[in-house]
Amino acid sequence: MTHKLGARLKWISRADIWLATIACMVLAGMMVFVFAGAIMRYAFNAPIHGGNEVLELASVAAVMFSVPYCTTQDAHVRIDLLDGALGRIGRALTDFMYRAIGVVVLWFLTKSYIDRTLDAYEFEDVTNMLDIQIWPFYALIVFGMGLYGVILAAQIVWSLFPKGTPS
Amino acid sequence: MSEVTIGLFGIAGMFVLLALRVPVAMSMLAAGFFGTWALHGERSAVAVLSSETFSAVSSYSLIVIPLFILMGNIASAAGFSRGLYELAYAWVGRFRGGLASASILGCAAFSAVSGSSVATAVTIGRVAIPEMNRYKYSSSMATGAVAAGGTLGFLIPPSTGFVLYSILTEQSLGRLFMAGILPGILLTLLFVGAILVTTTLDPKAGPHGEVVPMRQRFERLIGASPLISVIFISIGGIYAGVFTPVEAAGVGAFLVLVFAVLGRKLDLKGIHTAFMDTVKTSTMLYVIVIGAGIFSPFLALTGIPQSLSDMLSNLGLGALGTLIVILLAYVVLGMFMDALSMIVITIPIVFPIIVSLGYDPIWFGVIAVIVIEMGMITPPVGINVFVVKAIAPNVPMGTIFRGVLPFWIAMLVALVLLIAFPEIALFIPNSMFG
Amino acid sequence: QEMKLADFLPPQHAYQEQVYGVLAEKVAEATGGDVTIKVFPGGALGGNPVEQYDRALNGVAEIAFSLQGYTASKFPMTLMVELPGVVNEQNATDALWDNFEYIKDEYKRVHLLSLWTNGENVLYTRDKAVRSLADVKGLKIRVPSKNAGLVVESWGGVPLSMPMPEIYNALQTGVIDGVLIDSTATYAFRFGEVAKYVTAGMNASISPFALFMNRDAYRDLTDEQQAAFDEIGREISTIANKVQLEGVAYGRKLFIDMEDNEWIDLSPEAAAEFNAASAQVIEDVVSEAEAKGLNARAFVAALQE
Ligand code: NA
Ligand code: NA
Repeated sequence: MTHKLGARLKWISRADIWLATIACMVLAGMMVFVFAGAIMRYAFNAPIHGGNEVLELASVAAVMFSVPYCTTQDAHVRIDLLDGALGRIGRALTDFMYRAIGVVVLWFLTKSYIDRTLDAYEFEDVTNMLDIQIWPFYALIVFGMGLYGVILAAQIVWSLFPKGTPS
Repeated sequence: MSEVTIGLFGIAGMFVLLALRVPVAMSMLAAGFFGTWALHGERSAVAVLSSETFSAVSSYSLIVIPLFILMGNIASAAGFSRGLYELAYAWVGRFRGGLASASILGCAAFSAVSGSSVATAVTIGRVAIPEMNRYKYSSSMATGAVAAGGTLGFLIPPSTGFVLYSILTEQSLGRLFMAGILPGILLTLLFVGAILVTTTLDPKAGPHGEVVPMRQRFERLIGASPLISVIFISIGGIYAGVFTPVEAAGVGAFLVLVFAVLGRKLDLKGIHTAFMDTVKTSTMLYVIVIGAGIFSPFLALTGIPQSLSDMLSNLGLGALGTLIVILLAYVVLGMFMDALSMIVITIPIVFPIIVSLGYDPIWFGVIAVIVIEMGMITPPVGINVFVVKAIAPNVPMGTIFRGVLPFWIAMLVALVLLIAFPEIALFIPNSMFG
Repeated sequence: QEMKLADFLPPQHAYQEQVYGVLAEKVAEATGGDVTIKVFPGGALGGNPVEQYDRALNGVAEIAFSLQGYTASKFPMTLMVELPGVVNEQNATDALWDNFEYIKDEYKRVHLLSLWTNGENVLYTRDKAVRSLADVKGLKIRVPSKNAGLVVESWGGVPLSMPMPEIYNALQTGVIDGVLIDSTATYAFRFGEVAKYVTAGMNASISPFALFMNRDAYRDLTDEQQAAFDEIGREISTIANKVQLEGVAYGRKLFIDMEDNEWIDLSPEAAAEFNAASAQVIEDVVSEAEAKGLNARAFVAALQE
């Protein structure tokens, strides 16, 4: 079903893959960074001081860039014990409920991160060791979780107008 | 409405959402968020939502998850894990359920370097489940063995469970780690026993394969050598004090990638697929961690854990009776709570009761860790089952939970043995530390 | 009105009874029971230490225990107290309060209820005895803050940062050689089990601790209640510092009593070597802060008096 949905709005289905590819590159960078850090410390006695901050913030980016992909691929784990009993209409209704609840919760989450981003920008919040600015990473949460909400909202619209095209 | 009533509504609400196919993460998120709202208003609920989200996605200790998943994905895309399994198959495949037993042994070996059950299930599962499929194991056996085997990561030291227990109860972590060794071996053997029993009752669950000649068994060592050497370097590196666990994961993934590229086992497209799969799986897990991070504080606010402990001390059941009630409570909580928050929330309440009943605090650490492990595979919320589901998306959740049942019973047997013979846990620490 | 106090320390920590318990008692007494405090220990309201400041800021809890060092960029002035030898563990808490004027701007977004310090940090080492400055050379030492990192660097050591839960294992396996922390860590983090030596006696660093209060929660109090909170907050600072120092003494005794462990108190000459090496750190950090427009030099001078 997700494939059909994806096909209906091609640019989203392509954008999620591009974003996830960025997440992959971030992850590859993390892997190399961890490797280099371990070698630097063990072989050269020169650990990357504050390296954990780089990894922690990079993992924010890796997760947030792949949240939309995770959603379009329907990878969020659900308990499917009642799948058979619900039937097609039941599944459509429960899908609708999930998406509606998701949109509401993610709306609050995204809104709070908009405030946080502005706040961190205004007060120039930085990490403890390396003084890395934190606001861009809050902004990434706005981006990732916001898109999660947008995708759920779009899926609601499509499910209400199964034959029509999204305007 | 009292806080406890709101709490009960919150828990019930989460169960309803789960039953109605709302994803696990969103069910916990919504129940925790709206529950906190009902208790303390919008501002407080939004604040929890916001701070827990960043906490989860910027957590240093969770970084092992994507890195170990990546290591497994590349190893399986490059065919290295198949090499390992062909080796395992050559040696134990002729026995009924041999590959499932090999997976359990693999989990136990990996547990000796990983503190996390999720990482264990992911690493072994990535390799083991596709191979067991190839050898015509039933999907319930294949997924069940990995989901259960993964929980060994939480018992066999190093274990995040013991670390938390030690900090909460001020018990020696060294003693706790030592106390986990024999029960870890015992549980591993009981898991293998569970496989033998299951395959005896249902030979199709894990068919035995052909006998592989001795020479070929050793030849297959070559095919398995890349992965064996990576495991040796990254995991041996932890013991030797070269790496931290996060570094072992990063170094392992990096080396597997290098071997795959040098050996021309993987092109750019294959690498891209392995990475895409990694970010998808680990992001799904991160979102669940966010959900748990919002649901647990809500539960704490309702005071339900506290009321439970009050109830317990008023029952007057005697030592063994109270212990059994506590363990039953853990089984119930384990249905819907994640392991780490269960420890953090319950141990402070339960520990004083246990000590006042005259039980050994180190021994109870082992008992608590095992019963919390059971929760990882008890429906409806079982983190290890979700992990396995993420690896094997085509297997229905019900099938995995069914496959887990024999291992769940094995854990129950382990608990009974430990209660009957506390020395299983206490022998090593007592003879080491006196 | 019930106020929630968020704390990430374990429920058995001495602060529970001796600090928060006393705080709750005093508040209930001063307000005639109108305001009560309920403690949520063990990170029950969310465990990540770094987020505790935000919990108070956003009202997840009305009061939150945290360390300024966890969100260092918000407290550059307060953290001058970390600089080696500027204060000692006996006078640090009072020195901060006596000079609060210099740092009060850092507590605009979140009301500061209490502020105290830990004991002078000491050097836990895994298997290498540090008896003189030369012994530190090349040792990989986990530090709690940027300023402490500069100190370790000035000694010739190699500072590195590492999340708290990773340290025990890293020390046991030898990934790191040492940890700079106060001696409560002997039991609080069980470092007595994985470190054979502790070196003490040099100026290292002292960390400030705080109880942050949500600004609106404070504003909603009546004038009398606010006055009561101010007074109690200061009293609690003194009490908490005392509890911490008792813990430090206990941690020291515990370490000495453990078999195979050695506690090394540096001779005055050996300590002087360390302190001479780290003296430049004060000047560097103060100059850098002054360049950013902070009144750091006057504050440090006032603390030193
Ligand atoms: Na383990
Ligand atoms: Na469960």
